[in-house]
Amino acid sequence: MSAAFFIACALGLSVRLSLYKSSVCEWMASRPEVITPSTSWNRVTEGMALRKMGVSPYDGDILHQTPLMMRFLERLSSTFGEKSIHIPFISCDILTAVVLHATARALIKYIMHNQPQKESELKLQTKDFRLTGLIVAVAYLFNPYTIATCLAKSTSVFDNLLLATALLFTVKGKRSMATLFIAASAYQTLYPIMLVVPAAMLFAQKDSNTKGNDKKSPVVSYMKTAYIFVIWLAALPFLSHYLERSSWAFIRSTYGFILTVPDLTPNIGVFWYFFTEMFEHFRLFFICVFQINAFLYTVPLAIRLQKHPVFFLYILLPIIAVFKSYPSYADTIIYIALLPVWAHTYKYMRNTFVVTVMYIVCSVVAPILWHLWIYAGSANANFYFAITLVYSTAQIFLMTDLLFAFLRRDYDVIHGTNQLQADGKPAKIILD
Amino acid sequence: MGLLTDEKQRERFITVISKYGNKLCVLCYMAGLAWFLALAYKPFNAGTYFSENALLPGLVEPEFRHGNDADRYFNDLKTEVKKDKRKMPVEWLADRFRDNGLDVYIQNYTFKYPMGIAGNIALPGQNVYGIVRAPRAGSTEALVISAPYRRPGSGLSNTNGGIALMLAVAKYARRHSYWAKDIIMIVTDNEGVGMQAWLSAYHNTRTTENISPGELHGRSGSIQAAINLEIPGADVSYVDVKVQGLNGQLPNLDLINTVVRLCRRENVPVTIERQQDYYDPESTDGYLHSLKTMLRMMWHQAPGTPTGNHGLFHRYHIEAVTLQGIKTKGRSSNYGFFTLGRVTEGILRSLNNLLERFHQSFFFYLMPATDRYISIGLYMPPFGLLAAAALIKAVSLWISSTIKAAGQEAKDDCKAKNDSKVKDDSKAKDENGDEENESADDDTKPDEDGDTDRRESSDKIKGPEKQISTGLSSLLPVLLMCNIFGVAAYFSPDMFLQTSKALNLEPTEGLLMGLTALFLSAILFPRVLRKNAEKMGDRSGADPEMLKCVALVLQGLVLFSIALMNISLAFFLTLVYTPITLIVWPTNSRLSFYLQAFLLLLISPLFLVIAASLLQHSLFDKYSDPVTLLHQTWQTAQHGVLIAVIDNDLYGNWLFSLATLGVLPLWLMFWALLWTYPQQAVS
Repeated sequence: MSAAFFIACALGLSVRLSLYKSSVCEWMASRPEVITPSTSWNRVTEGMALRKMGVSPYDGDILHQTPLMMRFLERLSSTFGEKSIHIPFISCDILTAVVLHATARALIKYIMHNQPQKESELKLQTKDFRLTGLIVAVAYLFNPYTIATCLAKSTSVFDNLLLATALLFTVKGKRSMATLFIAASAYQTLYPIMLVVPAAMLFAQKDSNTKGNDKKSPVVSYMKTAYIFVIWLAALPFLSHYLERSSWAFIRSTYGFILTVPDLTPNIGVFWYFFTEMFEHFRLFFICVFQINAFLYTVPLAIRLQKHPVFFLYILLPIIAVFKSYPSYADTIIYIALLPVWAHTYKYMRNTFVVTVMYIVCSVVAPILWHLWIYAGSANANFYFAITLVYSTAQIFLMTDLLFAFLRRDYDVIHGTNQLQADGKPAKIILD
Repeated sequence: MGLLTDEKQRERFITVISKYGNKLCVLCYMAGLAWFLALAYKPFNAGTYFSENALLPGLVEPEFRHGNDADRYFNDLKTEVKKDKRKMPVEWLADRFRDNGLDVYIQNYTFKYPMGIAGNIALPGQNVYGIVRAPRAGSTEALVISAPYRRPGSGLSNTNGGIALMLAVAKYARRHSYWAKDIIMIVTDNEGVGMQAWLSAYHNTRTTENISPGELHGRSGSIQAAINLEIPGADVSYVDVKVQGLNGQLPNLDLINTVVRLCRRENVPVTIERQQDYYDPESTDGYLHSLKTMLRMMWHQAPGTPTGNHGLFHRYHIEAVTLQGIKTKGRSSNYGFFTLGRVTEGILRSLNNLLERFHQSFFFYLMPATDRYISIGLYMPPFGLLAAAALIKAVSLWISSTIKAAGQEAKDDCKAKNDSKVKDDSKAKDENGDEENESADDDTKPDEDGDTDRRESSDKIKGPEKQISTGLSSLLPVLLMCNIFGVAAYFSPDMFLQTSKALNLEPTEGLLMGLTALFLSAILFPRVLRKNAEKMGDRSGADPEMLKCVALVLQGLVLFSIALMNISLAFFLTLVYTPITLIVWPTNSRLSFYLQAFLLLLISPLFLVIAASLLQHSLFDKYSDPVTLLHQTWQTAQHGVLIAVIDNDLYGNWLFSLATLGVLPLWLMFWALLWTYPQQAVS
C-alpha cells in the first residue's frame, strides 16, 4: 500500500463524486449495456416499496435480487436516504479496488512461488511485478466501464466486491473463507459457482505441497473443500428461506430468472436476440444448450490447466462474462483489472491491437446503434445485435489469446526459448 | 479466424501491409472516392419501389374539388396579413378551421434563446391547430399537415398558399367519411421553434429548458406521418420535396415514393434538391446531373439542420417531408390549388391506408433522382474503402512499432548477455513493449497525468543514453490535453456570449472570436510540450509512430460513428481528412513542416466552417465581386457557428458537440503529432 495507491484511490473517489452531480448518471442508468434487469437500482426501489406495503416483491416480475441482498440494500437505503445513496456505491467501488490490489499481490506471490525453480531467462523476478498491484488498482478505478457501472448504481458493484473477495481468499489459500465468498457470489449471481473447481484444485495443490504432518492426499483435500462449500452454499438459501417466512418464492425470481431467461431486454450478451427469434417450441432445449455451454468449459480447462489452478480461476471470469444470461459491463471489469498480473505473457499475445480496437469500437458504437434503433427508429434490432456480437467476440479473442500466450510461455519455460530444428535453424512453434 | 491464429497467414499479412501499406492507402482512397461518385450513375443505383403494400398510392378517384375555396382563402389571408404585419392571424385561422367543422385549439408557448442571447427574454408564440376527427375510428392514430406562418419581411418566401391549401383540404376532408386516422392541421409560428414547441407539448417531453411548450387542450392519437407545406402563392411551377431532417435523419423512402408518385399522377413536375430528373440519365450529361443532385442532397444533409419543419418530426419517430412549391418566371404551365389539392388528397388517402408504421422501406439512402436511390448497402462499401485508408496506415504503423520494440528488446537481451548479467527486465514488458516501466527508478509514482514526465526525468538520471520514448503511456499527456481542449470548447460558448455582452459585441462576433482565441491557445500547446521536453534535455515526448497510430484509429472510429447517423457529414469529413492526416509526419525540414502545418490548418474545424460557407456562397449564390463574396462568407461563418450553438440547445442538433468533442481533439492529435520529435533513422 504505497502513497501512489492512496492517490489513485483519492482520484477515483473524486472522479466518481464529481460525476455523480452531472446528468451522466441518469443516462448511464438507462444504458442496457450497463444495467440489466437483475442489477437495476430502479427495480430495487420498486421492490422496497412493495415490501413496505406488505406485498412479497417476488410475486411479480420486477425484483430479481436475492433476499439477503435485498435486506442489505434496504438497510443502506434507510441509513443513507435517497440523496446520498451514491455513497455506499462509491465506497464499495473503492473497497473493491483495495481488495483487487491485495488480490494482485497475492497472485504475484503465488506465481513467483510456484514457478519452476531452475534458472532461466524467463524466470520472473520480484521487480518485474513492482508496479503491478498499483496498475491493477488504477485499471479498476479508472476503467470507464467501472465508472459507468458505479454511476448507474448497478447492484453488481456489490456482487463484484464479493467476487473480488472470493478471489483474494482463494489465492491466499484460506479454504473456509474462500468457499464462503464463492458460495456468496454463487448465491448472488449463480455463475461463480464454477469457481469452486479451480479453488478446490488450488487447495489440493497447496495441501500436497505442505510438508510434515499436514500433508493430505488430494482426495481428502477435494472432499474437504466440497464439504465446506456445500455447507455454505446450502446455508445461504436456507437463511433466505427463513427470512422470507418459509417461502421459496424467491428461487423462481432469482435463479429461475437467471436460468430460464424470461426477460429478453437487449443486453450485451448472446441470449436475448437468439431467444426473441426462437419458436416457443424449441425454447427449453436451447435454454439447456446455452446454459450448459456456460458451465461446460470448466471441464476441458480443468484438464488442461491442472497445474495452473490460479490461471484457471482467472480465465473462468471472462467465460462467465460472455456466456452468462444477463451480462453487462460490470462483469468485464474484474478480469480487465486483473489483466496486468499476466503481463509476463503479453509478448506471446498476438491480437492485442485488434482486441483493443474492438473494445473501443463497441463502447462507442453501441449507444449510437441503440439510439438509431429505439429512438430514431431508422435502424433495427440486427444493428444492435451485431455490435453486441462484436463485443462478445472481442472478449473471446482476449480470452483465447491470453490462454494461448500463457500455454505458449509455459512451453518455453519448460523447454527453453532457443528451440532448434534438426537442421540447426531456430524452430518456430505453431499451435494447431 | 485464420488471420488471428495461423502464424503463416499472419506473416503474409504483415509483409503485405508493411510492404504495400502506403500504396494500398492511396489505392483505397482513390477507389473509394471514384466508387462513391460513380454511385450516382444510373446503372449503379436502384429504382425506387413501394415496399409497403398498404399504401396503394393513387388507387382511388380524386374527390378534391375545392380549388376555388383555396383561392378565396388565399385572398382573404392576404388582406388579413396586411392588417397586422407583426402578428400571426390566429383568430382568423381558428375561425376558418371552426367554419369547416374542425376541433380547434390554440397553443400558447414561450421560448428564449439559450445562453442569454437576445437578452434572456421569454418570447411568446402561438400555434393554431385543428383536428379532423376520423368518423369511424377512436382517435388512436393521426396524420399531420403543417404549414409554417411567415410574417411579411421575414426574409423567407411566404407560405400563405400552403395555409390556404390546408384550409381547403380541411373543408374537403371533413365532408368525407373514409378517414381511418385523425388529420391534424397545424399552422406554426416562429419556424422551427413553434414546431418544436408543439411536438414537445404533444408528446409531453421537454427537450430543452428554453422552450416552454405550455399545455395542449386537444390531442389525437399517435402520429404516423406528416406533410409540411411551403407553398408561396396560388400557383407553382413545380414541387420540390425536401427530406433532410435533424442530425441528417431521413424519412422512410416509401413516403417520398408516395409523394413523387402522386405528383406524377397529377402531372405536377416534382424535383429533389430543385433538380428535375434528366431525360437521359445514362448519358454523360445525365450522370453529371444526377451527381449534382446527389451531392446537393448530401451538402444539405451534412450539417444536420432540418431543411424544413418536417425535420423535427423525425426524432419522434414520425416520417415527414416538406413539399415546397416553387414558381419560376417565364414558365407557361403553372399548377394551381386544384391540382395541388388533389396531390395532397392523394397523399392523405394513401397514408390513411397504412396498417402499421412505416418500417418496410429504407431509412438510410441517398437520392440522385426522384425515382432512384442508393441504399446503405450500396454506399457503405465505398465509404468503408475511403475510411479504410487511415486504418490500413494505422495497422502498418502498429506493426512497424511492435517490430521495432521487439528489435530493441533483442538488443537489450544481447547487451545483457554481454554484461554477463541476467537481465530479465525485458520479459515483463508492458503490452506495448513499454520501456519506461523497467528503466524508471523506484520512486516513480505514476498517477494519471504526470507520470510520463517523471519517468522520463528518471530515465535521464539513469543513464547517458537518451531514449526516444515509446509506447502508449508516452501519449497520455497529449491525449489528455487534446480532450481537455475539446471539452473546454464544448462548454465555452456560454462564457464567450456572456463576455461579448459585457463588451458590447454582437453575439455572432463574440462567439467566433472567443472560439478562435481558444483554438489559438490549443494550437500552441504542442509547442509548450515540446519546449518542456527540451528543458528536460531529453528527446522525450510522445512516440510519433504510436501517436499517429492511435490518432488514425480514433479518426476511423469517429468517422464511422458519424457515418452511421449522417453519411454525408462523414463523407465530406473523410474526404478532406484522410489524405492530409495520412501524410502528417514530424520532420526536420522547415519547408515540409510549414507545408504540413498549412495543410493541417486547412482542415481544422474552425477553418472548415469558413470553407463550408465559402463553398455555399460560391456554389449557390452567384456573387461576381470577390470582396462581397468574402464578406458574405465571413458573415455566414459567424452566423453558422452561432446557429450551431443555438440549434444544439433548442433542437438537439449534434453538429456543435461533434465538432468540439469529436473532431477538434482528433485534429489536435495530428497537430501535436507534427510537433513531436522526428524519429532518428532506425537501423
